[in-house]
Amino acid sequence: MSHECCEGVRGLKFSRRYFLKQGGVALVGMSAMPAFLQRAVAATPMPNRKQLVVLFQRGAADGLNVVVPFGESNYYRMRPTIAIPAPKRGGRGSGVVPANPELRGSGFVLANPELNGDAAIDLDGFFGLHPSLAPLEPLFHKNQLAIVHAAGSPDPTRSHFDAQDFMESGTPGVKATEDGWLDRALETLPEENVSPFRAVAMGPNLPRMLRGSAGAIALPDVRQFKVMTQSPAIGQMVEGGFEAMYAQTVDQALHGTGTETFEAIDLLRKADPTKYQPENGALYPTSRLGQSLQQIGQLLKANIGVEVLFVDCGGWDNHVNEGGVQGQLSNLLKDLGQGLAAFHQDMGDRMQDIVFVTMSEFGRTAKENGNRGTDHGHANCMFVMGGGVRGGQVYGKWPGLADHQLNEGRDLALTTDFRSVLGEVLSKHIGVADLKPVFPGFDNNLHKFPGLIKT
Amino acid sequence: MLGKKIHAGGMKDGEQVIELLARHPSTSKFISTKLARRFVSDNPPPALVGRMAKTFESSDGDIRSVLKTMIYSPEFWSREAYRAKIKSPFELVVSTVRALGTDVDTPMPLVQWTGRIGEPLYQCQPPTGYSDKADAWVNTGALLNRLNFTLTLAGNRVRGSRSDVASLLGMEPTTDAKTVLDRAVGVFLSGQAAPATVETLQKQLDSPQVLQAKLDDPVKQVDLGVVAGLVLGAPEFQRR
Repeated sequence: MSHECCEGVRGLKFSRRYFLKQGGVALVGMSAMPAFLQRAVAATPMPNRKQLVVLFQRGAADGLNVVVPFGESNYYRMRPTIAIPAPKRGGRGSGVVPANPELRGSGFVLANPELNGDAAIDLDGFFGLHPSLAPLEPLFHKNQLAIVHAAGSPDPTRSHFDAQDFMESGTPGVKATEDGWLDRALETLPEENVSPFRAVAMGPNLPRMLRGSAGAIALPDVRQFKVMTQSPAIGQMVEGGFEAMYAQTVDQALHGTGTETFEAIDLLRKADPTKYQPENGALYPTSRLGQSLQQIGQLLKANIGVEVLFVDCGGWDNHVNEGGVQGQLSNLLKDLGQGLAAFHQDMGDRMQDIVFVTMSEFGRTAKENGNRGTDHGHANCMFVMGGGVRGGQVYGKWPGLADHQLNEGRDLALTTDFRSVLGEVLSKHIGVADLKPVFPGFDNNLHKFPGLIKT
Repeated sequence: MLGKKIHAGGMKDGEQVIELLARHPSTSKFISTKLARRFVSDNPPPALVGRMAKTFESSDGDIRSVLKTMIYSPEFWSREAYRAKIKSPFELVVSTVRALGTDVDTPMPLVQWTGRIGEPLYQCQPPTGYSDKADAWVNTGALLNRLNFTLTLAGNRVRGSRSDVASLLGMEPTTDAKTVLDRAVGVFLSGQAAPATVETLQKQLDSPQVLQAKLDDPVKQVDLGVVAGLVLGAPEFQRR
């Protein structure tokens, strides 16, 4: 999309945040500029940066039923009623069985629909996807999707609150951290010409990981990001009134946020993201997650300088009746799988610049409990999807599920720190040069990272 | 436990631990900071917090005495503390309903607005509760929703809620725009709006969209919902 409005001022380099941060003094400077020029500054085309989408599965997803270690007999021993059966041609309990590459992608899943849906989908002869994640299988085999298993936060807490807090602050075990890792990552990047939509969280609140001084927008619905009045004419007048009041107020906090708000409204109105329909036959689920993902796609297509996007996805805390091939977890995964696959399809070539990461505060107990569910555990799996991802692999050292191999005798042990997954994405994809301020106290050694982003 | 051996036995163990915690110096400071942050400012003066903590210790943790120390302090009545607090979403919704004298039959839509402005009621995940500081509430999306809420409520477009702005402001059919604004600023902002705010509002009121009727109509009727929504959306109304 071209910004016709600012053809004449392309060369101008203003940092919008510079003005906002300078408060009153800069306001004088800004006011001295003609109004059209101020608008133009706000709408100057953004450099084409890479994008990152982060999805948080709140409630602790059961990683062992999401990416099933069907090659490990202990898995079936510990989960008598909720285990996902091994793929029909996989090797249950037989350790690592090298799958015939010819069968991959075109094998039993697609060719034998009668077998589809009641067993894990083989990924590499040892791990399989939950059958409800079938839409992700082609992405894995086209090397667009990587999985990291036995990953997560090293902190031993089993509290949702503490664990989410640590995974969002990026400092496991340290409660005092005020801002989030994604905010700190943005702070390390140049601010020249950044968009008010640089960081967007789909929802009414900013997540902990985006809190801090870089600034982010909480956006419950793209369609409602405007002053809502009964007629457009009144809307224009009211918007002008609000904008002027907040531009002139001596109230520092409200002045800055007010300026950003009206700049963002203006930018979004011009770009009109809602005009973008899903492409390449992408079918988003009608769920809240599906709609959020579709709107994320629209924001990316609108070229308004979005760099990081966040979306929440709840309901994973299945203590009771979690279900196996079907049931509560299955329904959540259907939504997630269809949503991610639709997003990938909709984005098409844009996927080259996008990395999509999923995370959850911890995994769940390896053994099922007495209520056909699972309780709070430790390590989990993470998905990393995108054109720049070295997909088609399940990364991480598998710790095993024998009793002595379990964390505290109950859950999947942790072998990959989530910060090494995120750190790799941030440094190799987004271009964060120094990870030290992002993950303080962590060994940010690139050579120890999983190696799942192409260089 | 904090360098002290507990061996009272049974429930007494727990009681001793609670005693120990309640008398710990960090507790008096923590509770005093929370109270001062709630009632004085986001970053309350350390001297005030110190005096409150002293009262907490000397009064054996009597909150009434701690609050008295706070209320009779010069810091509480200082210029800096006046309207220093940004309203939480809940406070904004309630104060708007009160300012408009809204008749609420169905509270649910108001509850939903509170959530949209950023504070879904009873849905705070962390056990520490919603934040008492402005930076948790002041962000781009939330500010827009604050403005949209006041506009929608004042325009009688929230289901189950009705406000009678005309009688609230004592309007006659012939009341002119200037008087409407003066009364709205008086009623909604206690007359305490910055000159720049009033000037801006006056300019907006000259626009034909507010004066609903055609320009050549002899009597120009003012869209009271829009005026009320504008005044209630002023920066001054965001603080308590």
